Amino acid sequence: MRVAAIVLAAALAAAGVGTARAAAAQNAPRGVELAAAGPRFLAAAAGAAVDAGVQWSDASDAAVFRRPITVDWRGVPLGEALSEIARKAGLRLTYSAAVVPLQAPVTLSASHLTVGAVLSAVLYDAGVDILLTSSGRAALVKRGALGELQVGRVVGRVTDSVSRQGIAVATVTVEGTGLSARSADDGTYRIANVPPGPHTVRAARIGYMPMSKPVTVVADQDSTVDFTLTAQATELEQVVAIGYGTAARRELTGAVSSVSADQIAAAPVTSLEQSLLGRASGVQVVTSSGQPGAGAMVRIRGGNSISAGNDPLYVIDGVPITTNLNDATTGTLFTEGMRGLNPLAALNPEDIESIEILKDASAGAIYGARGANGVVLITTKRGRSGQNTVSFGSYYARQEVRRELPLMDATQFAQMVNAANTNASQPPLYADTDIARLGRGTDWQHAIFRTAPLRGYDVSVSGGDQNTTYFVSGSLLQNDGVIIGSDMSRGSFRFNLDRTVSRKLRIGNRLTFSRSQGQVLPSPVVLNALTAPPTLSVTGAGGEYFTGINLLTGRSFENPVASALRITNQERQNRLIGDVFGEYDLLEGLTLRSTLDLDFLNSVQDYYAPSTVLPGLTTNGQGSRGQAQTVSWTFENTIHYTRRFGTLHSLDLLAGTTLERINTEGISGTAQDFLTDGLGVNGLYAGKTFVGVWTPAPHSSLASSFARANWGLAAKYLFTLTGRVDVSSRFGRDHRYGLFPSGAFAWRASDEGFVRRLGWFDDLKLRASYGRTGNQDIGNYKSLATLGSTVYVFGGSRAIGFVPASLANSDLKWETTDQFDVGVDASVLRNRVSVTADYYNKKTHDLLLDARVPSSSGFGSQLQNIGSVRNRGFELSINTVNLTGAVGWETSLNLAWNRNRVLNLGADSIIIDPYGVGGGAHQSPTVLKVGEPINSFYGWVYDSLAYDTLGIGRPVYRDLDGDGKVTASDRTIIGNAQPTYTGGLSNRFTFRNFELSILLQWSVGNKIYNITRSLLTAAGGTANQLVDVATGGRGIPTPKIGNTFESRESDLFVEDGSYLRGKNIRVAYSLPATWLQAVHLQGMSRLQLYVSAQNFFTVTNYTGYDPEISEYASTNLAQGFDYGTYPQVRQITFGFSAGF
Amino acid sequence: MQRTKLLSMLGGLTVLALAASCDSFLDPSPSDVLAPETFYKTSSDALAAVNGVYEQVKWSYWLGFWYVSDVATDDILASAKFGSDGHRMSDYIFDATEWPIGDIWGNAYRTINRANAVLDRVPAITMDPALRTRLLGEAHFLRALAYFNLVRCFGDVPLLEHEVTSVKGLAVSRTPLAQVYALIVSDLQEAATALPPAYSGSDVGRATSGAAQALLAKAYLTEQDWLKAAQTAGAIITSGHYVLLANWKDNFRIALKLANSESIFEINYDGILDPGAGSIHTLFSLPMG
Repeated sequence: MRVAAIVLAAALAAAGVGTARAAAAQNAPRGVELAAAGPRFLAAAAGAAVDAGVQWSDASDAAVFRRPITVDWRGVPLGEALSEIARKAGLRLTYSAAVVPLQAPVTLSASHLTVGAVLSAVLYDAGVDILLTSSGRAALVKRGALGELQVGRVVGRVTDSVSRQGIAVATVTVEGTGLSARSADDGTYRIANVPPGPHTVRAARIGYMPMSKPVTVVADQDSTVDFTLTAQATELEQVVAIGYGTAARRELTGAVSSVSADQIAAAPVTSLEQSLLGRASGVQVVTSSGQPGAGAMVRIRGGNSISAGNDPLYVIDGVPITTNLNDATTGTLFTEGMRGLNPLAALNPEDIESIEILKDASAGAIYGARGANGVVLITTKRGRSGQNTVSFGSYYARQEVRRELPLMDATQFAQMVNAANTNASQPPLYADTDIARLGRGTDWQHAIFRTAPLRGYDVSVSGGDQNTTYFVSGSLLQNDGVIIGSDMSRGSFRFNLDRTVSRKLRIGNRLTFSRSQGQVLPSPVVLNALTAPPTLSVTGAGGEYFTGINLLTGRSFENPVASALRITNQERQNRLIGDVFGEYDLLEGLTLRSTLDLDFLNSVQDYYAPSTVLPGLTTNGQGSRGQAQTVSWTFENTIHYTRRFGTLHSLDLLAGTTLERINTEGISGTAQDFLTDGLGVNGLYAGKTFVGVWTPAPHSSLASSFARANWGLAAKYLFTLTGRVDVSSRFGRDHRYGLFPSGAFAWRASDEGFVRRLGWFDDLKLRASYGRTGNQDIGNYKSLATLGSTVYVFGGSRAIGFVPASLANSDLKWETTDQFDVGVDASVLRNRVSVTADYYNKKTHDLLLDARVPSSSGFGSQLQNIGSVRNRGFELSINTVNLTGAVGWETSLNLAWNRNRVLNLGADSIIIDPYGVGGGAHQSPTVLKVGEPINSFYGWVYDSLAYDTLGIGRPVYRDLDGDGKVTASDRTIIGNAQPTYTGGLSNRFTFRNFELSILLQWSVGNKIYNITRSLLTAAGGTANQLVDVATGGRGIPTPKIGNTFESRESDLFVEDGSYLRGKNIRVAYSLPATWLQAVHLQGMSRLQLYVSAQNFFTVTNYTGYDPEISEYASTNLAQGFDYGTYPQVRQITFGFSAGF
Repeated sequence: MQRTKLLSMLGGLTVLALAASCDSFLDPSPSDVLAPETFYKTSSDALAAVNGVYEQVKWSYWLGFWYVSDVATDDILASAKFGSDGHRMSDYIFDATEWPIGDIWGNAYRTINRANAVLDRVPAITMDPALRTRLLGEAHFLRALAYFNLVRCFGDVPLLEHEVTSVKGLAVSRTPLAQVYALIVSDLQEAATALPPAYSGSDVGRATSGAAQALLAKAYLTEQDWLKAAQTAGAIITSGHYVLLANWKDNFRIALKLANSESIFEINYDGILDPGAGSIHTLFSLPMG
């Protein structure tokens, strides 16, 4: 800058241009060569923000000073003359009487003379200089006796409103002058060379709400301005994480939803996806069951895929983590839908700073072949320099089942059994005297349910100084399940470090380690408890669990209490997720970043059923142990360039490469027939029969390169272009490379003059994006022909065989999702109301489908890219600040509508039973049909009960094809599990030290296929039923032996699963500082006590345990099924959180 | 400047290193699953391939076949406790969507594809010619067995004589009955000469020449070729290899399975050595008394 100024001055001097001008521009404090007594025209160098001194440059050729004006003054007071100059020139001129003699008479007559010349003429002897600021204002500043510039200083301290400690690295700016300073570690700052006069000083720092204060600067004096900043960024100031970087929300061109740490901490969730429930529009979260450690089905803007995974990509601090349990566990547990502990439950939600959800193609395309289902970016907490804080919190909760089903008691049951037998022309089983003695019998639901405690402890230490910040945390969680024999506990530890090694080099790491352990409920327990005859007791004569013969079925009784407590079904999991990174600034604005990530998951699953309990009863004990270890590493290098061109344009370029590899090794063994159950699963070596040993070792790898360009034009027109090339080992040889581009445009309409003049919008941004993402989440070897192993016994010995197991498909490639999104972000009423609305239309083609191949080939199916699915929808999110002041009230509402439709299934227009569910007669209500959404149900339509001559009623179904018979072709679509719309409403009230927050959440229009109900209303006389069977009801047949097998898939069991749920209500009280001091807890800076309730009310018509279920959460083909699913709980929590 | 140079050098090296290892890095070959390209090389591979065909025959007779061959006949009358599918079979009012139908079809064609894999690939393996002849004979026999079950249930069925490696160009139209029988007969004639009359030790249970002849006789009989049927059956009787047991009940004694003189060919279900494959017919088909 200095060099340029000197050159300019030399040129000017040489040119000797007409009007009286300042000569060389040099550092004012060092003295200036005066060419004449006239005023100098000076400007502060743009961007200079160093306390040490201000660079002044010559501004005499600024456009505003060259403007020609015409003046005619005779004896006009100087003040008037100056204001006329200002008006005619379109220049804002500030001056004070202390600086210029405003009454001095001026005589000047000139036409088309430059402003600069006029000012020079009228101010010739005034002894002032003219300072031009970057916003186009000019100030008249008195020159000191030595010709030095008279300037003042602004000093002060920036502190945090809560901790009262100084905030380092806050930027304090004197508006309009381009002068600024950064606060030191203790928060103090000093800005020198401020032109005297009134100014506005502004303090800002990321993570805090900026604040402005007025000050009048006096020459040669310090003017003190202190700031107390509140740590809460406004919606616009918010910096959100986007793929491979961060962006200010005001400049986002894509659709991104955010969930903050406060929202996550509002309810004691055990796993982070539960905190997304009802918080972000377009994100549907359905917890699969109430089991501790159960996963949740998360769908962003509807499910795209049929055979491939539908879960979004989870990225924690830039590390994409493994969430696919099919590879990472050996599947040794004895469960129906749940393959293992939820892999996301290994993360402590208290460690999370914010969660961003990338919903549209522009935001997600940078993740290429993994971004089709959306991306969930999780940023964990970092320390803040200058603040060393310790936080500690703990909570205790009581959980219970929301409701129990109305089942028959022993007397009603016995009567029903007798009726069933009589109706089948068989003698009744129970004599009347027996029935009289039965009473209520055993309440099996009562026997397995319990009120269970949930305990959590969390401690964290964070802080740092100018160069180093750290965040260390530890937590413990113990969650007993509301069904006996199920629980989960987790301990976790985190260490996040950021260090600035030098001005150009920054390094850091994120590390978390956790160990979880869970007892998973063996699969048939809930169903067995529901169907168990209340005439049988839990324990037999000797106090042992009754597992004798059930006279009704002729087989051993599967005692649910015995199964729950005696069967070992446990998983122990160790998880380490970490990354280490380095950032180097090659040049101003050019940064190189290198990251090495590691995700290590080790899971051990034990199952043992002793010989006293089914299914171990039939094999004299059976057990298996499986251990799997998944190591996935990622090596990423990015180069990032940002540049601002004046105030008009900004450019942000990013390019990078990624290498990722996932290796799993597993071993599992199963044995049965043991001499003793005493060793349990540790005694597998002593089994008389070895069932098998399996040693899977899947692996996959991915190599990619990506680039993103963000270009901002006049900060109003924002363009984004991204592209990524992925090469995956999973795809066929002929289609290894995938290109995923996207483009987006955003228009900051509120920065346009005409919108500003309307005055309605504080912020208005319109954006549109279109792009392509892919889905590579299929098995590892699906494109290859593989052989499978077989066993056959010849002459008393096992013979192993190898046979063709799968057909090769070298054409296999990723699924492609093309998404179009258009959205509006608006803030009105002084930012008190902000609205975000999006419309999207996404089409997924080349759908990976297990296409049926003719079975005469010897194969059942082949994975092919055929078919397409469309999701179209609308999202709305409204945040309002209703009241500020003594009583504060904020509301947040989000709504989402999504229409899913299958467009093409290849050669078929319908695929029946793509996924077998349930058991017994209910195995094929799933269907895929062109023109219908995924997750549709298929079956017969119930017509009425038909009574035969003996008065026995059976359900009859409609003959839809009119052929006079009710056959398989009379089936039709009877509903589907996708909701019409979902939403959440959150209200937060603050009054003094109290805080009340309420979260409501709803899902409307989704249907549930209640297989459990079909088993409980079959009236087959061998299992306990709902009381409805005794009283009769729609579709309920007359009890008769054999009915159970006649039950079929029909709309009798399709129920409306819509619900409105009070998800969380929380009342918290923060103890005032004075009180803390009074009880000698001075060290404690805050202490908050709270009481909260989760699932505190539910409004639904669903007759099962809970409408929020999905037994088969891992597949996209079978959502909305209730098959003895572990019920959700409601709980009440007491806790506190404290900080030092 | 020096630092920049150093960095750019490192960057270049990394890129080179990556480029070099790229191919092996992205190699999709599984380390825990076999691929046909690396298999079918030795005699034990050939043996394993044939063992696999037997395994599929095991499943063919597991349950679905019983529904068709017993339940749908007068041998069984469905009681009140039998499931609705059993009732439909027993009353002969089932349709094509009944699960045993698809079960028979699928199992048979899986057997055929596995046998075809053996017949296509084993001849190229360098191995003991006698063993190869026997293994191919076993494959012929099992393929003929599968086709025989198919034609008896369905009549004209697609005729596939080679392993299916791609769905493109798959023949799915029904071949006339006579042609299928022609293959069955030629397969069994081939097997009758290739297979040994008996096995010992851990090979007991494999197909024998007598089994091939017996099946051939049955095929002729079903085709109503009385002369050939009588001739073939006669040959088996006169071979002296098979003798009726003194007590017919001994046919059902586990201790005598596979090893009694009446047994021509048996599918072996062994719940101990092959857990999960113990026959469930012990639940359904025990003799009374």
